[in-house]
Amino acid sequence: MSNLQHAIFELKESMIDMAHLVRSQLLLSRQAYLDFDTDIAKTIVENEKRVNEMELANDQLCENIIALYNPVAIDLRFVIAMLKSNTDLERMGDNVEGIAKYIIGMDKPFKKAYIDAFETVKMFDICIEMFDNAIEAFVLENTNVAASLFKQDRQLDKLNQHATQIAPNLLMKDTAYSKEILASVSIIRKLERIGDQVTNLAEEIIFYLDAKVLKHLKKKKKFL
Amino acid sequence: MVSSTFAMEINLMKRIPDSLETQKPQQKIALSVYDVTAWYGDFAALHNISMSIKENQITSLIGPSGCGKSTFLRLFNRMNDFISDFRVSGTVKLNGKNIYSKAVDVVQLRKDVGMVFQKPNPFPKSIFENVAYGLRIQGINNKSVLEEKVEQALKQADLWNDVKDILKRSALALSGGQQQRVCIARCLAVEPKVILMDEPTSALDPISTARIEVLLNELKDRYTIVIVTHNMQQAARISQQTAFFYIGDLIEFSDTEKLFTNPEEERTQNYVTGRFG
Repeated sequence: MSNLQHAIFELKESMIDMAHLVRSQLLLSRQAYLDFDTDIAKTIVENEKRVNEMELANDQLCENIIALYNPVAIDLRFVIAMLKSNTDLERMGDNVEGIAKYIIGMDKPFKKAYIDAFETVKMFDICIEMFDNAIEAFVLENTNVAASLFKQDRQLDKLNQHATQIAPNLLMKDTAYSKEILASVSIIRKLERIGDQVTNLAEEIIFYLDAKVLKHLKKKKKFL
Repeated sequence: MVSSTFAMEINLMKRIPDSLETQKPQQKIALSVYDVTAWYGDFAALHNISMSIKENQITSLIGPSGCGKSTFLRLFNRMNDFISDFRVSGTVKLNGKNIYSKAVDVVQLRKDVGMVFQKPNPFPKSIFENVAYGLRIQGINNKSVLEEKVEQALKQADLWNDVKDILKRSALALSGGQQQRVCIARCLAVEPKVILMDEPTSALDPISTARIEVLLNELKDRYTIVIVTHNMQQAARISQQTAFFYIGDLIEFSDTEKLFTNPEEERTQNYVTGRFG
C-alpha cells in the first residue's frame, strides 16, 4: 500500500468514527425527546465539542493529503468528497445539539398526542435509518445503498410539510402548550435538515465512486 | 435606475456567448498514427496504436518504464531508424503525409520535427554556434541572417537575456537549465513544425523545470509539442491531452483534465493514482 493509500485509509477511518459519533448523538436526542430527559440532552451538548474537534482533525487530514500527495482521479474525488462530508457531519452535529437545546429549554414534557400527530418518532427513525445506510454505503463503497437515501429523504420532506400544516391549528386549540408545539415544529425542521445533510453524504459517496454529480438534480435516480 | 452592479452583471452576461463550444476554433491534426505496431527484433514494443495529435497544443505521453512511450515518440522523427533491428508497420503522418514513405527526405523530416532529450546535450561549441548549428547544416552562412535567427531562437527559448553578452562562451559552461534551453533554442532555430521532448526536465532542478514549463506553454502557440514525462504532475500541469501507454498498448488518450480527474479505464486510474507502476 502506498503512502497515499495509507493516508486515505486513515482519513476514511476517521470519517467513519465521526459519522458514528454523530449517529450516536442522534440516537441520544431521540431518547431525550421521548423521555423528556434533560440530562441526556446536556450530554449531547457536551459531546458536540468532540464533533467539532473531529471536524478540525479531518480538515487537517484532507489538507495534508492534498499538500503532500497531489491526489488525482478517484483519490482526488475522495478527498474533495470528504472535505464536504466533514462539513455536513459537523452541521448534523449542530442540528442534533439544537434539538437537545430545545429539550433543555422546555418547561414540561411533550404531549404524547402531539408526538403522535407530528409523527416525530417516525422522523427520528427515518433519520437514523438514513444515517445507517449512509455509513453502510461509505464503508462498503456501495452506490446503490447510497442512492436509496434519496427516497427516504422525500419521506422526511413530506413529514415536515405535514407538521407545518397541522401546527397552526394545534397552536390555536392549545395555547397552554404553544411553547412545546413550536419546539416540536423546530425539532422537526432540524430533523428534515439532517435528512438533507445525510442525502448530501450519499451524493458525495456517488461522486467519488462513480464521478457523477447529482447536486441540484430533482430526479437523481434517473442519472445513476 | 439600474444600479451599477446590476448593469455590470448585464454587461458580463452579454459577453458570455450562447455556446462556448461554437467559439472554439476547430484544431487541425498535426500528427496521426494508424494501426502502428513497432518491433525491436521479435519483440513488439507497440501494438496497433492509432491516435491523432492536435496542432498547437502539448500532448503528454505517460506510462511506466518499458511501456513504449519513448518508442512511440521517436516514430515521429524516425529516430528509431538508427536501431538496426527496429521495424514498424502501419501509418504515421505529419500534416497528412506519410513520413515512412520512401519519398520522404529524413533530413528534412528531422528539421520539421525537432527533438529535445532528457539530458541537456549542447555541443562543445559556443552558445552561438550551438544555436546556429542546424542553420549552418542547411547551408545558411550569412552572418547577419545567422545572428538574427540565433537571437530570435534564444528569445523564444527565454534565454536571450541570460546569454546575450556571452554568446561566444562555451555552452557547456551554462547551468543545466540554461543548457536545456540552449538545446530548445537549437531546435527552434530551424523552425520546426513539431517539437518532441523526451523527459526534458527530469535532470533539472524545480526552478529550471518551472521555467521550461512556462516556456512550453508559450511555445505551444507556434509549435505542436509532444512530451514524454515520468512526472505525472508535470503532464497534468502543462498538457492539453494525455496518452497513457502500458506494455505497448495505448490504454487511454483523452483531455488531460479528464484523464486526471475521471479516467475511463481502470488501468489508467490505477497508474495515475500510484496503485501500480
